[in-house]
Amino acid sequence: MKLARILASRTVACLLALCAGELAFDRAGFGTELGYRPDDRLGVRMLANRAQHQGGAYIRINSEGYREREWQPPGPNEVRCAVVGNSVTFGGAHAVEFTWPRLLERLSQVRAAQEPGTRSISARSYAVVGYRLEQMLRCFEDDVAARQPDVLLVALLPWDVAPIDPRREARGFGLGGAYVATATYDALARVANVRHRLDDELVREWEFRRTTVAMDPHGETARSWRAAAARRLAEVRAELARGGGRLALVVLPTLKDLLEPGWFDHAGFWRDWAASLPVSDDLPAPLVIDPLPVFAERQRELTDELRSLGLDPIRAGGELHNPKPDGPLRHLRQALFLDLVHLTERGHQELARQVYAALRDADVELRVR
Amino acid sequence: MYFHTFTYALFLWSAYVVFWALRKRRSLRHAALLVASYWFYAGIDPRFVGLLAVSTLTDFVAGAGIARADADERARKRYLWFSLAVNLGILGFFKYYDFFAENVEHAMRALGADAHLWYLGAEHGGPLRYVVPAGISFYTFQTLSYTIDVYRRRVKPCESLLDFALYVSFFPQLIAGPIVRARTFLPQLAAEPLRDDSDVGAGLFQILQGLAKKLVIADVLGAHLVDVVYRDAASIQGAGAPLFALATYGFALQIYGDFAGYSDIAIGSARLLGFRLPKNFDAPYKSKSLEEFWSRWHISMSLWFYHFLYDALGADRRGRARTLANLFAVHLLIGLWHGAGWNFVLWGLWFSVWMVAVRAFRMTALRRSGGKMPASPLTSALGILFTFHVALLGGILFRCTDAASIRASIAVLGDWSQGLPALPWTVWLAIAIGVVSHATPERLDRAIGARFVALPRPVQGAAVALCLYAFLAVTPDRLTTFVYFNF
Repeated sequence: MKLARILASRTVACLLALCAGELAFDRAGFGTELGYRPDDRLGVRMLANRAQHQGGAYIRINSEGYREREWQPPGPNEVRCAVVGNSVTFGGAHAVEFTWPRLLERLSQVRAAQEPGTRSISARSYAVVGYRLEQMLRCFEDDVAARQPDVLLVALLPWDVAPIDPRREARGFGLGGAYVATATYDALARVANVRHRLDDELVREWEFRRTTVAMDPHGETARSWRAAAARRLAEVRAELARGGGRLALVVLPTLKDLLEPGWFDHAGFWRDWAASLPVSDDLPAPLVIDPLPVFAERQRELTDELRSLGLDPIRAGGELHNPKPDGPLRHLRQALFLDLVHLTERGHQELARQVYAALRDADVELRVR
Repeated sequence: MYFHTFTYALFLWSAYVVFWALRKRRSLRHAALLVASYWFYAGIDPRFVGLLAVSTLTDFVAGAGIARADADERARKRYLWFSLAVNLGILGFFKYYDFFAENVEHAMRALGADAHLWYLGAEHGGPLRYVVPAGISFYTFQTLSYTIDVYRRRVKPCESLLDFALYVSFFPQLIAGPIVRARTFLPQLAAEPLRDDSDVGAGLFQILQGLAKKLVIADVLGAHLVDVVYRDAASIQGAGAPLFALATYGFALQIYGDFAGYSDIAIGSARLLGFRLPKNFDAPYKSKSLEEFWSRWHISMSLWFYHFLYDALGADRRGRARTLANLFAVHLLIGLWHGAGWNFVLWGLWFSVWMVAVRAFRMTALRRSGGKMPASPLTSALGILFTFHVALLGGILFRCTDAASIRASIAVLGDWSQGLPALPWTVWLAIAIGVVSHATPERLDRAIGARFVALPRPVQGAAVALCLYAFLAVTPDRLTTFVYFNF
């Protein structure tokens, strides 16, 4: 049978029409903004090589699907830090230079210049909005482990131990989710504008799981999720150690920790877990970095003010996020929090300082070898 | 691999190219199609491919055995019972065992015994996740129909295992029908396929109709209305009567769009490969009676039950009481065929009761009127309304998976304090298309199809692309499976 008959004119016409549509939408500017594609392991991945202005910040996603520079081998004397995390670390509200991994890097460079013999840090962020701990760890296993970082920084909130939302894994229409990366998908999604309800549902599902930990941190469900997370982190610690790397948990503070102190001792849980693990030269103890005491100290006046207004953490976060020009908050300028969990630029700076100090204190090899 | 994905489009296109490239080489052609069918099945759930092969071998052996036994009636019966035992045993074990064990356990506990039975499904602590093999009810009934037909001497046994395996596993209708009788399909395998260009056009048109039903009617109504309201008892309770009623009407269209859409894509896909599969849906919501409804809804399954169960029970040949009892039993089993759950039992019971009541009423009316029933536009309209609403209310039992949801469905009908919330425009579009698809006269439907087939081939290709744009623009972002995949 001739090829022309096999590749029938219907198929060719259909493909040409689809390609023409794709080209037209591409020329019209669709298909360049941030988005996700389905992924068997991670649920979703960010689409590579996309860029978007978002609330004043310019966000560019590299060819690997992360908000980071293209990968280059680090310098010989640099400490290689990989950061996995979620929206807090992603820092979508700020320029990438003001996110804490980049600030950590800059801080280390300043110190290295001031203190001869000190190594600077090369910090690469693999944070993705919406990721939970399991996704962060799979991200490490798939994309980071082969690069053998000296330190893996896992930045997590209390509710990141909740399992991956299976509904997020069902996006796209086959062919590996290639369709969602097209300009056609972007155009149809924006023109028809009916997908927001579904996104609402995804958010509701996520909120539900987050609420499970937030409302009942000592309940059976939250405890079982934390136990599973602890097992996975122990596996990752061992894998890291095989490449000579060390695990560090950055226990992210939240506004809830400030307004309702003691609702759940998140850092304490991970400290106890780290202490329970066997330690040897081959398996160094995981580092647990807890910036909460410093955050609490720096936010004392603001916290008192929010408390005096009788606001619960979520409403207090809303007050910070959308401050009225004549609003009641006198200490708003000192805020480290942008809302319930996300950080202001000052918050990112403070977090970077805390992480750097913890790395130095914990005998991570910042000295030139 | 689902019908409404780009992966399936690529798969079907590849199967089409290979199939027609091997047009003159029968065995190779069938072998290629068989491999494609098993690949397709493995793409949905690779764990149960072996079951499909076991079912195939069982009925191939049973059919051959029955034919060999010829005049030995006892041997013929033995082979028939062998097929029934293996097929219904597998179906019963995978589909109904957990339901059975759960209820036995409940009953024993109610009697004070501390019972802990072994389960198959992971949700009960068993070893398997998603225990029901995809399409098991469909291919089991298909293979059984073959053996029973051979036993009844209505079809000759298939001599080629390859052909028979392809008959059982033919990918377009493997997962959710139509259930095809051997005498319809096997002769098509025996003949050399003729590549008719109008078949390709007609097949494409039917696939597009199926995609419209699935992506535009079923998925839109599911994502933005039905699944939101019917999520659980609390969401039903909170919806208020107007929204709940709309969601219930929406569900009637959703389930129709989902299943009829699947059938259309299956029939269209088969036609691209030169096979004709029987019609499975025929505008069921314009049926004037419940009997007519079941001759328009999931036609191949209804016919299976009619031919192999209702007929075997004596149909309407054994007097009034037995006829009604047969009707009752058949519709109860149709309910149970759909799933292992009390809601499906209740759904079957719902139809059983109505079928019996309507038949009894008709028998009495016919007797009194001397064998003539009055027919007028008014009685037709009333018949359509009645039949549709029996199916609609039965749909509540079908959709609610627990007793609390059924109770909430009844309770919410008293709450008229809330109005309808703002719904996406696509919901109204889906409802409009669902209604129009029923109101369109069949000849107009055929004329549109014929017009499509008459278009130049490149224009047909471009029209397919245009339809894809339209469907993808309105369908929800989330890829949903087909409801009937679970059966």
